[in-house]
Amino acid sequence: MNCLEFRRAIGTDPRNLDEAADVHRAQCTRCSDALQRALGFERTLTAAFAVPVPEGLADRLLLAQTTATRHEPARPHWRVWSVAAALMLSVALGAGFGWRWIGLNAPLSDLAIAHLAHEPVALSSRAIVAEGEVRTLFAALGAPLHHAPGSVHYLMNCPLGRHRVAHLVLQRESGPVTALYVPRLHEPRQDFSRAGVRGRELPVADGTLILLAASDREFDAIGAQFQSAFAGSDGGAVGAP
Amino acid sequence: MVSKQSQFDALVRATSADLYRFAFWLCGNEALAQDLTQETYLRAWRSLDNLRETAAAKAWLITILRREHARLYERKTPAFEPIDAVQLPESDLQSPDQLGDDALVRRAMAKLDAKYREPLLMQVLGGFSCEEIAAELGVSPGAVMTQVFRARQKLKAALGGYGEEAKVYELP
Repeated sequence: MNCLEFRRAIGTDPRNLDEAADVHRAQCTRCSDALQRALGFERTLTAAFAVPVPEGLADRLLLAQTTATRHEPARPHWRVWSVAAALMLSVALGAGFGWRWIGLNAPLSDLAIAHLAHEPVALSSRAIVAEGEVRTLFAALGAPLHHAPGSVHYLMNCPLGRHRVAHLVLQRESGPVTALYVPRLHEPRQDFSRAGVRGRELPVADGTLILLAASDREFDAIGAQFQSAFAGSDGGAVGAP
Repeated sequence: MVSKQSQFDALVRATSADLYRFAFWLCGNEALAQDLTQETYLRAWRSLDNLRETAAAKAWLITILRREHARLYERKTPAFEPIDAVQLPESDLQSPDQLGDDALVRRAMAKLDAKYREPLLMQVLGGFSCEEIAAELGVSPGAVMTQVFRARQKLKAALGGYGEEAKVYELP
């Protein structure tokens, strides 16, 4: 091995040199020094790649696994289709919107789809959220509900551009429907379609409701459920999947 | 006899930090890296009987992670994002004279083209040989050797003035 070959070897994998490289290193002081510098740079690289790991990550991973394991046997048939729809929606979102930077003042529809693309796990959430939690979150946002708008399977207080919104997922026969409620924002009703996702913005109570799903066939019913939930009429409490 | 759950617990505790870091550099986003890591381990749990050798655990998990990432995000978009889309730690967003070595290297790494970044990541963070990387990426070992060599060269160039280490690959 000559000096050129040695430098190529340490540029390729300085931690795993073969016997010929070892022999050359022992005979060439300059290449031996170069190897020491290369190994120093490898230590720098290793340290730089070690970005901080979220606290409690391993515990959360184990919790997710044990929780999923406990719920696996009791999955009704319709939920299999629901999971498939969630997966398709996730793929469409990732493919179409996964990594674009969306400015804070972007159109509400773009903000909503970008937000969804960053929370794909929400779409497959199975646990039913207690009605009290739904009412508490909406009350905290200054938009009190009389009852939950159907069966809620995911609930989070999320940022959306410059707004704080209620992020819900409603599992329906046709798959998951995401609902984002933006208090004190008044936008006219409009339908849209991006990256394979159907969407609708509509004014509800003192805010705007955004619905996102693979299909818009449940949007009318869900919109009515939200209207009823804010108004306090009984009609909106029924119609859960 | 060790239970499946005990084996999985040990696997998570031994590998989750590295797998999360790999996911972070793959997708460039902390929240998505956590999601990808979680989905990877859920799939790993369902296929745990396929894992026969402890030494192969990290490679096995990275294979699952890459597939999970590809399944969600590669159909229409590139595997890696330009620097503007990579969420570096807040401490890395200071002015250049405030940055430490780690932050400078992370910035340079984030700017590295996809075809150079992933094999280097697999080598440095995953500990894979060029042959193992080639098998995982479906390219020849020679191509991997070229990519990791050029990756280091490009990092050196990006880190100009990095001191004596910048001369590592220069001939005497």
